[in-house]
Amino acid sequence: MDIELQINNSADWRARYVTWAPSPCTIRLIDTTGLTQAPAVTLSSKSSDTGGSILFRTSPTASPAVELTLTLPLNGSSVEFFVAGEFGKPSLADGDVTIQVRSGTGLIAEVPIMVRIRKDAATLSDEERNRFIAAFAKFNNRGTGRFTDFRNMHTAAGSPEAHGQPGFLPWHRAYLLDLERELQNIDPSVALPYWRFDRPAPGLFTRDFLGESGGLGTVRFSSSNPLQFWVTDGVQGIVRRPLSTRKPKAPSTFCLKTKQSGWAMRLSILRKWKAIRTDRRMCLSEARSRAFPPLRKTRCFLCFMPTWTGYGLNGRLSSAGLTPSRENRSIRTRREAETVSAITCPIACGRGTELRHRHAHPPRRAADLLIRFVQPCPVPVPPCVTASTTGGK
Amino acid sequence: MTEPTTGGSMRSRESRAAALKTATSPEEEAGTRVAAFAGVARAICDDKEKLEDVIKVLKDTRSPQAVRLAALRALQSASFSVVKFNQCRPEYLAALRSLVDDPDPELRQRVLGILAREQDGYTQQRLLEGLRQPEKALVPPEKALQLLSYDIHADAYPVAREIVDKPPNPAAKREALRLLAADAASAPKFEEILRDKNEPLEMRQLSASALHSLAPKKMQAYARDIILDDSESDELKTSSLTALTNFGDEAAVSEDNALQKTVDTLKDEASSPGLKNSAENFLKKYRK
Amino acid sequence: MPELPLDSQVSELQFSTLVDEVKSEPARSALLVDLLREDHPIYEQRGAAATIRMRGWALLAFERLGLPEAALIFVLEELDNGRDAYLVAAAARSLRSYARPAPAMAAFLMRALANIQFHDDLVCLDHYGGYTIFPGDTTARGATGAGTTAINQLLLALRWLGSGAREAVPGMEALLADNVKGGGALSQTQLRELRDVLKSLKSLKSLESLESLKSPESPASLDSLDSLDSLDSLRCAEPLEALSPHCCTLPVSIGSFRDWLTDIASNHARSSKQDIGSIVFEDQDGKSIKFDEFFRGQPSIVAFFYTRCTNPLKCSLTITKLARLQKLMADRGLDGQIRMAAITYDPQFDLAERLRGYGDSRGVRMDADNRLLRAVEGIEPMRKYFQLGVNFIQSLVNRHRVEVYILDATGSIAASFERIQWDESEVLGHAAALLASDHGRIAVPDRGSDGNESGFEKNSNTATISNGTAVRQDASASRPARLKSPVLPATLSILSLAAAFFPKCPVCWAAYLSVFGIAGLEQLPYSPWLLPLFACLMLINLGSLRFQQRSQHGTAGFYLAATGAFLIFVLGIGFELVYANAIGVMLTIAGSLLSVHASETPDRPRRRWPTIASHPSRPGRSPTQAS
Repeated sequence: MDIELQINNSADWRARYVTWAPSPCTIRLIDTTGLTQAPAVTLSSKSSDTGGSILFRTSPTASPAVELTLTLPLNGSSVEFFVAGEFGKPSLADGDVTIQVRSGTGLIAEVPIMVRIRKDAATLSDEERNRFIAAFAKFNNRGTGRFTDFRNMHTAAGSPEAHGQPGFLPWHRAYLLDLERELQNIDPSVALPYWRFDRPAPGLFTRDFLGESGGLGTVRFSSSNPLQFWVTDGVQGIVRRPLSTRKPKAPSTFCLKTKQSGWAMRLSILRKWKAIRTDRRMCLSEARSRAFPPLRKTRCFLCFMPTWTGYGLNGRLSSAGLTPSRENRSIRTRREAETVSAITCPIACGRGTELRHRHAHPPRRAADLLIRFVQPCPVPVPPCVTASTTGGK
Repeated sequence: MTEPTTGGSMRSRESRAAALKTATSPEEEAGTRVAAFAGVARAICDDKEKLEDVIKVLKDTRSPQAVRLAALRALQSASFSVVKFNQCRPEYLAALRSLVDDPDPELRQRVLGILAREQDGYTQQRLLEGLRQPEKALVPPEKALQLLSYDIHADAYPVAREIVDKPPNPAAKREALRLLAADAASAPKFEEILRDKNEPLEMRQLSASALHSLAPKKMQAYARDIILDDSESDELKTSSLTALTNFGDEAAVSEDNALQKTVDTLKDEASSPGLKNSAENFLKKYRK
Repeated sequence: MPELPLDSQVSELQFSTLVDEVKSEPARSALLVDLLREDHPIYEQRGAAATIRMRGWALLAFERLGLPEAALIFVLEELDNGRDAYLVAAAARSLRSYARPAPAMAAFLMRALANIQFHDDLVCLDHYGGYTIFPGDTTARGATGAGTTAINQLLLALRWLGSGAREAVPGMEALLADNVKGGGALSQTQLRELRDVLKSLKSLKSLESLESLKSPESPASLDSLDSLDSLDSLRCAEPLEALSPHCCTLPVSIGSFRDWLTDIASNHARSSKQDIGSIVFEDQDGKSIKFDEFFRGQPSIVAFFYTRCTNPLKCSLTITKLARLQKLMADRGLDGQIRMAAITYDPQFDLAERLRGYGDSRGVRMDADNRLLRAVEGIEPMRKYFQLGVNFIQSLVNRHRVEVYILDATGSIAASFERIQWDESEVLGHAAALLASDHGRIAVPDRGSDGNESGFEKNSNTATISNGTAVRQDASASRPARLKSPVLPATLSILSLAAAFFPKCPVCWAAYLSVFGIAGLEQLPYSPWLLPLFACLMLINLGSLRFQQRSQHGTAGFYLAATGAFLIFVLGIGFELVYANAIGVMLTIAGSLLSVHASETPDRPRRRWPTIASHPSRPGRSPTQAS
């Protein structure tokens, strides 16, 4: 009995990455020799001690299970099921968890996958850290790599659109997703880690990771760190220094009313801070359903012609494109153009969706049109994704 | 979300305006003014008077340094809202230019940093003047070189070459080398430093990185020579192995049996853990 | 002041003093124009900031001298592509000293507004250097204070344009609306100025309706004018009735298109063609290729760039446009017939890997016919050959212009697009026409015969205005070139016929009234002593047809006429065959007419007969020198 197993609706090895949100998979018979009735197969997983763990579902909202039994039709039609990482047990390395398909006691097929999520940078293992910085160094490639484009997008040319505008958050989410995809083109096991700047992170700014700044601000790396070959705009190295060389004081306790500071003031500030933290812990699905700013007319950061920005809620789902494409797929009229990019949903579910940039007039640089707003997929985020981690890809 | 009982949220326009008034008022205590500046960034560009008030505080040499730095931070925060701040930008840059001669060194350095990142021609002129005539220097030479490196068109290469030959201090030489890493004509200088075993390790590593960008094929050859040379330091060998592992010509390195044999030996016998790890990574990638 | 050698040894102080001197000597204004060239030796080994200071000061000098035609292109270039506040402000100010505001300038001003709005700065245009240290008077109107901004100067220029800025009204209204909603970057003062300009333009429209009513004494109509300022601004602009249907175009002579086949200065470059054989390139894959190997055999489009260019409107946009050009070529089935190359100004730094990365990220397809190149040998001959508008500090570019060249199949430069943003369709149109023509000659549109060089004519490089932005007209290769006058060839044919039908006696006059009289020529008693004359005229006719045949590839006309001559002389007069003369005459007529028709076919290259109209010239050259 031969079967075909697709992860994320694709047989491509680059699709074998899942997150906490259920990823659509299919299984079907491709060789029914000797079969007289539809066979039942059992899906299970096998993982190393430090590897990731996955759970199976029959539908996105069904209860997760460690095993799933499916009946495969003899006519070769696909049976859908869903795979998601078991929360709290992400992979450490590529392919450290395997989906096993058994019929009875015999193993029919095995597919190694990875529960690939964005992790707290302070908790990365040495191997994960080394893979990440190697991918990033290759992304820069001594100043000749794609990083230059991302830098140009974010600096003067793109800044008016990206900063201080309502589209700030989705712009940067899409930007980072795009950057992450570029890193994954280099090493698919890499995900963009995040920095919890409200917690100590002593391992972050060391010579083995993001480098150590001297008094002058020039960052030093260890001899084995490939980031030592970083080049920006032709200039070797990185300069980074804190905004102030003074030790930061306690949070501001200034009171407009009494113009005094004190414990009472500090407490109220702390309360406000906690409220913000609670806000951040909000379930992502709730966050998505909040009122986003409506589409707002603004200016393109490249050519300054009128365009739109905002957060669209059109639930159209495209095929699971894993790498963004910047081809300008449609030009509607002389006065309007739209760039459509196939990407993976930046919210949490990780499946294919579309990023659209609508532009008020024919763009001069079709290849440079940046994503404006996101059309998220309609799959709801499971309620388990409400803990302190963001639980991205 | 619970609103604090006292009005420190700066959410409303009125509260921001009030905070700005407090921040710019010379009668208030320095600590109060610094705290007030923390939340007024959004108010600065509401109208021209508010901007002028903050710039006045910034330029007032009689104000405490902490207050002036707080005013500068507020302006920098305001500049993050690029569109709204744009109407303030010309005056902001002009005010910063007037502060390049400020007596306070930290403020001066910060202002020069902001202007250098804007690739301001006046700032470049003054920094170059300071490098050529040390009595007119606004910041230490290593800092001036670092700021000039933000713009490769700043005409800093001749003075950087002079500093490499006659450095006032090691940090200045290092920054000069870093700046020259963008000058294709300086590749021979980097080769010379890399070959010279009497040069400090940091300079040689910097030269290796620069050569890696300017002449990658030559760097690959030098990296190979360094690895095969028993008298070279472990640090430099580690850098060379890292360069070859991440950026090497895969076809050429895979066929280089002598190199692979040497790296194999290093993996087993090197005393430095960094060198051992690098050797392992190299072999993982290139071993047939 | 003693004459300074104008080279890199001149200090900035000496330069500013020289410019100040020239400002008061209008006869030396050509020197100022020359100083605006990027490749002028005075800019060698200068940093980019120093180059900006010097160029800005040279531009500002025209404020007193008046901006000559030759310098207009530099001003428009700065408005079109500039991102430095000082240079844009200087350009806008010097534009106001131009004698004839043209409506097409509004598009450039609007584009400059869009380019500079997030890069504005306080600049001082009254002393050398341009840096305003202390905030001064920044109002747009009273720019006599310590500082002004580029946006202020642009708004002043729009005001100066007067009625010529009408086409930019929608763009200005959109800008105003954006800013009012909070999405724009103009200050309150600038918004007020913009509103004033719009108001004055709108009141000009009211003035038009007043003019048409022809009732100036009507108080109700006069009350619609908000201020007398709008009337003042009218004096600067074209009289309303002078605006032609082609009002939104630039004067022909300042166009960015340069026809190298007719340009005398270009002949010098082409005379150094033998040196370019020494140029060796390396492409994005590290492969070596010589100039002749790549550029001979097919027409080519060549652009220049470098990867460290900090102005995204120049190199980055140029390479991105090349990618779009490739798509247009593919759509028109010209893939593989026209080659494309982008050559870096900075070959020492832009190694193969860098070139590939730069092209890849801009969507350029790179293959055997489309390459990104760096010159490894023969860099100087290449600079001279292309007359590149670039200068260097060490090996790094300090300033360059936008430049795209079209080479013919022999590798000779046929045309170039310089300074102002080029249109992909237009460039492709020229390259395709070159492909279709013989020996790489471009079918250049006729400039017309009125000799009015400063007239407002449509040409392939016109800029029309749409929504306040400059949009290039499509110059499709399929658009036929205007026909050259067939007067002379037709005259010669008619003369030869007239000689044949020259009346020998009064009876002939009667014969000419009758169709049958034509065939009875041989009956005339005086025809024998006219025979040699007739033979000579026939030979002259055949000779002229043969001469035209060589340049027209059309042989039918000559052979028909030759057959006709044979029939007349040999069969008709010699053997006295019936109808031989009649047929011979008809064939001669047919041959002459066919030859005239062949000269009118646009697909065929025509002999360049001298015309009365002048050719477009380079800035600074007189029309007589250009042709």
